[in-house]
Amino acid sequence: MRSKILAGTAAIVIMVVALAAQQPQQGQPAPQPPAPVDDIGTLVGRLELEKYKATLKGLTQFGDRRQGTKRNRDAVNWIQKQLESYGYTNAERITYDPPVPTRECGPSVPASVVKPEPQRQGGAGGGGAAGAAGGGRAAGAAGGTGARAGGGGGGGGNAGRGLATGSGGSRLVGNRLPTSVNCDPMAQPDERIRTLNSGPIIPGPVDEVYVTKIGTKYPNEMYIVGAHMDGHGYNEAVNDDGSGTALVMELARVFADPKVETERSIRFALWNGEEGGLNGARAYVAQRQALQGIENPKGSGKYPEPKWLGMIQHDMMMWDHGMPKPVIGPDGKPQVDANGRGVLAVSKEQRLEADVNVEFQIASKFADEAMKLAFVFKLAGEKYATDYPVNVGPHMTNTDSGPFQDIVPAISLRENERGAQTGAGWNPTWHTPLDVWTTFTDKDFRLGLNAAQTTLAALAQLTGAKVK
Amino acid sequence: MAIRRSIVAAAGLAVGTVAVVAATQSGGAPTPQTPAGQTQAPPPDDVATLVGHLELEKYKATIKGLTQFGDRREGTQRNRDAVAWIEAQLKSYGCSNVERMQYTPAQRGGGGGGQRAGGGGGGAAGAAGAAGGATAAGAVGAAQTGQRTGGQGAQTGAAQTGQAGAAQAGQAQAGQRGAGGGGGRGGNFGPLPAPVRTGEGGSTLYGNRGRRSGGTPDERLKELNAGPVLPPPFEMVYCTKIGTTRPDEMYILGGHMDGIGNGEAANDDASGSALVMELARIFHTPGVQTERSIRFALWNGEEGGLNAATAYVEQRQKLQGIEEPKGSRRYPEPRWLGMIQHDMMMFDHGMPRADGTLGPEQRPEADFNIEWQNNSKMAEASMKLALTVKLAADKYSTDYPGTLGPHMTNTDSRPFQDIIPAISLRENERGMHTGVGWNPHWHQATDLFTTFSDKDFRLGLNAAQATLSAIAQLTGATIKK
Repeated sequence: MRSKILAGTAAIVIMVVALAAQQPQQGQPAPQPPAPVDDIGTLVGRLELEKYKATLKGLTQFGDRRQGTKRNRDAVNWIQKQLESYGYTNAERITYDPPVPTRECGPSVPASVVKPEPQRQGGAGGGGAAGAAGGGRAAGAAGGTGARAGGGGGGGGNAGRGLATGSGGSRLVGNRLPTSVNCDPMAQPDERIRTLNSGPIIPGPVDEVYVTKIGTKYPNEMYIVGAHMDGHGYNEAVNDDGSGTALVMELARVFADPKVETERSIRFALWNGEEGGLNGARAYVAQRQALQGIENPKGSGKYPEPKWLGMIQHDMMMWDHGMPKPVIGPDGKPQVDANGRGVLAVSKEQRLEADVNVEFQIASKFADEAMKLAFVFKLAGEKYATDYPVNVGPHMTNTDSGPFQDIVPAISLRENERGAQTGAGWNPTWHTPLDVWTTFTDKDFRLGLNAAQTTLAALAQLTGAKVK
Repeated sequence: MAIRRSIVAAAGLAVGTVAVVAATQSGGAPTPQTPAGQTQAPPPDDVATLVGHLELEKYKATIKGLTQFGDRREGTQRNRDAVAWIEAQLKSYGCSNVERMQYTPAQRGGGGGGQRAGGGGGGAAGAAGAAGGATAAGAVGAAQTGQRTGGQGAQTGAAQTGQAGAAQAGQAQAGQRGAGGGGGRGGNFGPLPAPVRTGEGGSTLYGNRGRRSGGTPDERLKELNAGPVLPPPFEMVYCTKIGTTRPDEMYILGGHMDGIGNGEAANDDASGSALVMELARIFHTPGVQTERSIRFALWNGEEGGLNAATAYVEQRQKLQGIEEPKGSRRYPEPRWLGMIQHDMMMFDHGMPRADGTLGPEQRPEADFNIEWQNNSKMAEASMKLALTVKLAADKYSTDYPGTLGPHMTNTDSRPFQDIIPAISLRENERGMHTGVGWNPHWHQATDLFTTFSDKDFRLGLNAAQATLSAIAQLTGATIKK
């Protein structure tokens, strides 16, 4: 593993040296090596805000894409069709049985699949199949390490000063707002969206789809780039996680160009059932981990499951409006509620200091390698992302990279740190009726685009991408 | 030449990682261990107890004490008085083995240290007040590279305060980094041409640029900062907590007690100096023991080009781990395990607005930034040390988080970065934030005790909590009941 990551990092060195060669040099006319064309810059240049938005918009036609519903199944078909339109002929699906929801979340869940709610203490979901489908995630404890009591909630007020812990081993500081999953279809004010989300969960297996860019030199090794195409909350799941899904699809589009070659393979995976407890990603690991690196048929040079080199997840990419802040009333004073507690709200604008958060899990088996991978992404972002910086944190949690974190280096890219920030209510659209297309501005979409630039650049380095 | 070399150096990021592996394999120099796992962590209640000894009011009082010596510019009488005052304070904490180290700043033409444009690289030659002019020259270097970084603003600064030091300093400054450094101290941070995004330490610059406060010293400050730079040698002071089982190994904690700017150098860097002094006080509380040693170093001449820290490495690196006298179990220079620097600890009011102004308050998302240098020989081990401090902060800091970054630069940890794991703690990332004007009081006459609110002081305290708890774990601190 180490050598792969170092090789990737070395690519940065080469580029920086190339940059140095372009500096005017006084005195000795040093022999100018032919400046290699910056293929990575070329590839990053193929990402466009409007294309990213168009893909994201396409996903919203399937509403919240809740796992197992018809709209979810239709979205899987649509995604596959899109990927094939980019030129992929190797789209594959895996099928899995999602765990039966243990908790009601609105009337769209047929009574037949709803069981009486068990006593649910903070750490549900750690046991693999136990994850609840609809509700429950607000407690934030579904992550692999599960060591922490529920992070969300926060009591609504200025919970600040206590030594509160969030999911993933994170630490909560400052103002917090409560978070929860909207389970009320009628809470969605837009009738069109209400209608979109009206269908029930259809019992039975569900699919997820992926395509693969085959490496020229090492087709037997790959990075997995993922996002989850399902959502919930009676919305359009624009940010969570249309934003990550469109990012992965856009990367698939850029790499699909036959003139673009990578030495190593890349798999673009659109997980299903993340909101049900990382169902699709867990199923993928369960079904395919053992197949890694096996040539089939023998001598064919074909590897149905190239060896995993790393997993890069994208989940909630656009909203970084900062910490909840006191609401100032018309009288110029902080507003208080009926209980005399300060009212908090999140700004409507992207904050100036918005960043892309790359996280690894410090408690995972691959913490060291994952941390190095995270910093490859940070440095790639600094070189190629156009508007926003990248920050690295050690508390990756509650997303599809979790099932991979003890098998390969795994990281997630997000708008915020999942434990310390999302968990403290920094994103009021999270799982609520606000997660709709009209909520977001170009400043928001652009943060997602910057994450796309970051992953594309890092991935191009790691897989040895060239443009013919 | 300096320019080119620094670029190539910047390119060495991965090489650095490889070099770490190589360095740890070659047996020659003292091989620092990675911090993780070298000591079983003490019972967490002892760490929490120690952290509980940190108090906002005591931290503020120590900062206040330092500000009585004005900007404490290296070599002035006020600087010398401050050294003596710090020494007396350390002794009063029970840190009785205080030592002083003498040094004469090296002449740094052509960017030997490469870190500092300003502050009178010519040692005593720099007259009080030359600070602004000297650093404006960073932009001269930038202009030479054709990048036109922040040129306008910086030239304005040169016109205002420009002095003889400018040209010379321009060479010392890594030219292409002028975007942040040059514009920063010389004048307003002008808007940068879009392609220019490279900051110091290998950082990348984003967003709006800020403006310096432009404050002018009042009569009190003028008097306080009136004295000239006296001839070298200069002095710095340090004291050491001796480890019980491993007295021959130590971590070095540092802040720089000198400043510039004709103010009180409250944030830069009384805030870091007071932090180190407060930690010295707590580790010398009766009953507190550490297995390994800790040296509390109050660097001088940072603003002149990391002068004391550079001299410390030159004078003392070779003495590491030597028992003197033989058989005494005394080690005048315990083997270095890591160096943690603290420089500008309090002000994180966020990115400047489009007009260059800043919020009057600490931003709610304020953090302290834990940086290492990706481009150093000890990059990987330094990254792990930074992570250790980050995780300690997650556990013990009460109000603000710590954030990791790979672009440590322009402070006293730099002379150590190729020898041992070295990190810095700051209010902002030095290259990307400070470098583009997130702190308008930086090197200004407005860097005064009264400029800062308790929310600002508290950020410094949170960094103190982080370093204290991390170092307590790393040195195996316990409290005898």
